[in-house]
Amino acid sequence: MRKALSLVLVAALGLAGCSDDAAGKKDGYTIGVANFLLSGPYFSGMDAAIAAQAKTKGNVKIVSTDAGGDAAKLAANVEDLLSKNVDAIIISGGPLESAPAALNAIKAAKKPVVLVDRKFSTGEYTSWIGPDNEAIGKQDGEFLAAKVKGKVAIIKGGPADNSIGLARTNGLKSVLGTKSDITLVEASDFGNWGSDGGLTVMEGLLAKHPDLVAVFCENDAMCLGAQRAIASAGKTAQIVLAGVDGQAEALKAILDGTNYVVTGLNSPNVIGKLALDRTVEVLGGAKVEKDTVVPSPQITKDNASQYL
Amino acid sequence: MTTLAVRVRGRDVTVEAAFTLLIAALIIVAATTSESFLTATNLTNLLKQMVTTGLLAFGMLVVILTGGIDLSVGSVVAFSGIVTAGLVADLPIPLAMLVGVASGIAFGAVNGVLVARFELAPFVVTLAALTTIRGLAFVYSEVPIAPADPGFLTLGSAMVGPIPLITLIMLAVFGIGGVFLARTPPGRSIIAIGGNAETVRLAGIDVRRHIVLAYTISGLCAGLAGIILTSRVGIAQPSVGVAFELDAIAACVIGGASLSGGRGSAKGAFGGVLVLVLINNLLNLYGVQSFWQQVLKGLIIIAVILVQRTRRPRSEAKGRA
Repeated sequence: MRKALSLVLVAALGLAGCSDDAAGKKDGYTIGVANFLLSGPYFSGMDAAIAAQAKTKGNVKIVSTDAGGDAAKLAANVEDLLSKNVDAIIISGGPLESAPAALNAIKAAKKPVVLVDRKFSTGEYTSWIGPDNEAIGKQDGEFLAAKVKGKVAIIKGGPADNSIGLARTNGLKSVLGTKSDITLVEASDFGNWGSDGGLTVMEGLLAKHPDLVAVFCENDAMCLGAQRAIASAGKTAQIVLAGVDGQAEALKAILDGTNYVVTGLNSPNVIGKLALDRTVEVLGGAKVEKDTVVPSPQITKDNASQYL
Repeated sequence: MTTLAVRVRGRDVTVEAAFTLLIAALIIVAATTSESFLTATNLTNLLKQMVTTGLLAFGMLVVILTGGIDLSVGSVVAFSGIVTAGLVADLPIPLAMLVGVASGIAFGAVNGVLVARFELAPFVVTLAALTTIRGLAFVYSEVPIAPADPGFLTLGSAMVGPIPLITLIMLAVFGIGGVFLARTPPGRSIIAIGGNAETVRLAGIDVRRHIVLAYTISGLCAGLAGIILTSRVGIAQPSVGVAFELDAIAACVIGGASLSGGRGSAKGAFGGVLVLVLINNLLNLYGVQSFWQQVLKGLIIIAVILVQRTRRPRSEAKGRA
């Protein structure tokens, strides 16, 4: 799908990188970015943020690759980057749980590797920068616990990014599950991380549980669709929504004082920027923190304007 | 010509009877075992949720009747939706929507010309279109677009009495489309091409033009589905519609259409859509876990098709005699 386009882009970037190397400058760095998939706005935003931050440095070149959701392709891309002799690699692993082949190749080449968003469960890496998804879920849970009593529904994204979703939902459950005045119901089908899916799942929930008072979605895109379904059913005054991510449309809905009441910021811009800085620090020989959790501030009507 | 008509009619009756039974059974089971099924909310959900699959299924049916396939419909849904949402900022809403539908028509026509004039395999042409059009949707906007004007939501949320407007639009497509296929010369030619293109050519009918027409109709339906879905959700995403073509094909096949062309009806395809939507709805109401839903849906599709198979030889023999 996006593969063809990104291949062209990668080729263009690769060529740009080559010609600069040929110019013979050795005072700057070339950093390879291995994306597992660029198709979602979150991941393409991450890639763009890394590139933008590199530009501000002046002497850092970025070579970006897209594996189109194929783990074998990710390993091959990493090998290609290494053979281009990049100085370091940033891996945006998306829903991947681990990437042993890629990490081993980087280790063998003795290059530093910085992970963004996704921390692999196995293998060696230099540094990781990402969100604490369970904490974001807890945060939403605490907000809802203070606001509502009754039946709260959970809309899950599904297998495409399951462990991130599970962490968010588990965080929410760890708070709301202990409250005697709150009943949790989970939608049986997945919203597939998109607004259309969130809409359909919410319609089903409304038919089965007309007495809901709140909905938690594993990301903002699904909550935006769910908000439409709630509006169509005329239940805007009865049900509030809580999401995760800080998608622009969700921030706007929160700021406007709709029934979308809270989300937790998980910003690819912040993470991408920090990751590039971290990689440059490592290349400069600095001793860096191994794991860095990027704070995910709670966004409500009171502070939404500062994140828009 | 008369034998053809009788043959087609004979088969229609069989498929119809099977469907009326199956759908009645599903509804009775649903109504007696789930207290949520017969609620107004759930019935309205059903009416809304069948629209996208329904529109795509009719377009797909027309293409399948010619012996082709259109794998690009999901990507067209994404493209028409995101372009419409993007244009709303500069154009009046109806005009933006018209552009969305027109983009679907244009993509369909290109598919049709490549299949008919350049004699490329429909599977290959529309597979290439699937990736090209999906890529274009992302080129147009990588991020979701949410039009600020609340008027954009009207199409997707308007009700005519108890029935959603979009459901009426879909029913109109099936109604008009059914008459087009069964009673007009171009419609009958499309079906005949799938049966035996050479015979149709010898009868002096322009086969290529009818094939282009078929793919254009599919593009039109997908473009329409795209703007309806976007208006319903309120946000256009370039990633929407992945694998939508599968449900559309499944609906046609459940409805008795033959993938080798020449056999199938609008009524059948509509029945197929009803079966798919009812199965989905029921499994959700029972709280069946999502992975099991996928398994069950696949098994049910196979079962329905096997039932049809056992009915086929009799009518086949009648037709060929």
